[in-house]
Amino acid sequence: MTKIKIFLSVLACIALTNCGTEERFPLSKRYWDIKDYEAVVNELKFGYQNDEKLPSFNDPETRLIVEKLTDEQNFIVVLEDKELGLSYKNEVAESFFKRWRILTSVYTKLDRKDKYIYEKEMLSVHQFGLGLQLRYFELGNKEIRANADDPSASNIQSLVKSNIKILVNNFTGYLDFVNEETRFSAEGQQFFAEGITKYLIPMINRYPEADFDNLNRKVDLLLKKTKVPVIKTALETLKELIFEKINRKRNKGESNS
Amino acid sequence: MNPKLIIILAFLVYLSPLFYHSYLAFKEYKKNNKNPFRRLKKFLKYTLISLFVIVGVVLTLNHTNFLNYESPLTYDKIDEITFENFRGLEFFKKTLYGSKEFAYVVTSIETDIEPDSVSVISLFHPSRSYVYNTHSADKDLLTHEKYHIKITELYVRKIKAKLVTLQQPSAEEIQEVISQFTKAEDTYQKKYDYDTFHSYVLSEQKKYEREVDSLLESLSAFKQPKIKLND
Repeated sequence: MTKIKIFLSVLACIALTNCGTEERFPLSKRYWDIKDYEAVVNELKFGYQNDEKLPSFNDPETRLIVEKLTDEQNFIVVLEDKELGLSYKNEVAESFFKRWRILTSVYTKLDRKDKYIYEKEMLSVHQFGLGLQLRYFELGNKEIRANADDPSASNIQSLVKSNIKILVNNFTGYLDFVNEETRFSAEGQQFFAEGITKYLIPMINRYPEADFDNLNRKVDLLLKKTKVPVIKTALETLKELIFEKINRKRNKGESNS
Repeated sequence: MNPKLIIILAFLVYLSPLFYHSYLAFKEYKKNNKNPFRRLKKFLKYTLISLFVIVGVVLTLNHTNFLNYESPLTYDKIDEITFENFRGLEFFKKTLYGSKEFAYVVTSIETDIEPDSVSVISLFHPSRSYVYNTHSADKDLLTHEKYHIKITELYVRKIKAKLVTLQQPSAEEIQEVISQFTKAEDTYQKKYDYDTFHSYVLSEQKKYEREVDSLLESLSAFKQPKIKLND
């Protein structure tokens, strides 16, 4: 009888411990949808012990997980699909946004020297969110206009403007990392600076009429503060573009009056 | 949990009385008591026969659901096909890429070579095709599956279009053309699933729908099952 009990216990142990990476993360799936993100974000947030190594780019065994996690194609394939309806795309975008907000707190650990342990992973997650928000806010504004009796009515215009303001503020938030530039390695600083060029510049070009005063002020202050040449160069490029947009807006205003 | 492991565990549990009897038999055999050994042989015989029957029934039903059988449908019934026709059972695959809401169709190309003509038809096998819920209202999923049937029909028409260009083809040559296009169909079906990601990417799905419909239309001259071969 004891032997049978041992045999059954061994079977139960095998069954319970046989959960591989594929079960935790759907790596064979071409795109991760909302359900996948929900499961993966929960797994990353609650499925790891405090001192357990999280999936990272420099670990060949878990690299694919972070690559999949931060692959913008996961939302692009839905949000930019011309066949799908606006409301559906907005629902998906909102769900992605909610999951992403939880995800931003996953890779923020510092070591004893106050350096980010997962700098590239953390920045990639933030950049994923910037790419997502660029589409999410655009879809949201499109739906506001589509559902309005008069899309050019002042209350609708002001709602759209206020959404764009939130978007600009969220993108401005990415620059907060300049205050923590010493927490990054040279490689991390380079990756962060590339994010400025890759995400903030397209955002400004997409909304040239937006209010960039806060962003402009922040860039001015950070230009004085940063000691990292690659970040300085990225901020200078950004500054030039903001300056150009502000001037163009001012000239347009003057010619109208 | 890994489905393979579930099967292994089920087998181990199923066979555990056998292991127990083997243990007893060998223990008693050393004491020159051969009765448990004879009992074991008998037990082994019945265990293996019942196992063979169970596995046979499960595999057969998983392949074709004879408990709810519907004979294969020809392409002219395409517009009448709904998920009610998906009568297959699926015991092993519980999800497709993590989703329990999945379906698949089984189609085939059937041929009949006669001396002066060839008959080529595409068939949809209801009792081998599976859907997670036969009352599903998921139109996109049904459309995606029905285009698998359309793709098979497309390649059937391609086969016929190719065969009529051949001069006095031998049975081997005809068979070669069929096997060539059957392989091409398989590749196209896989590409269709990959590109549309099983209809998740709707713009790709619509692109395929347009392409397949247009190709089917361009080959409408080969709608009829039978074609006459060139003398």
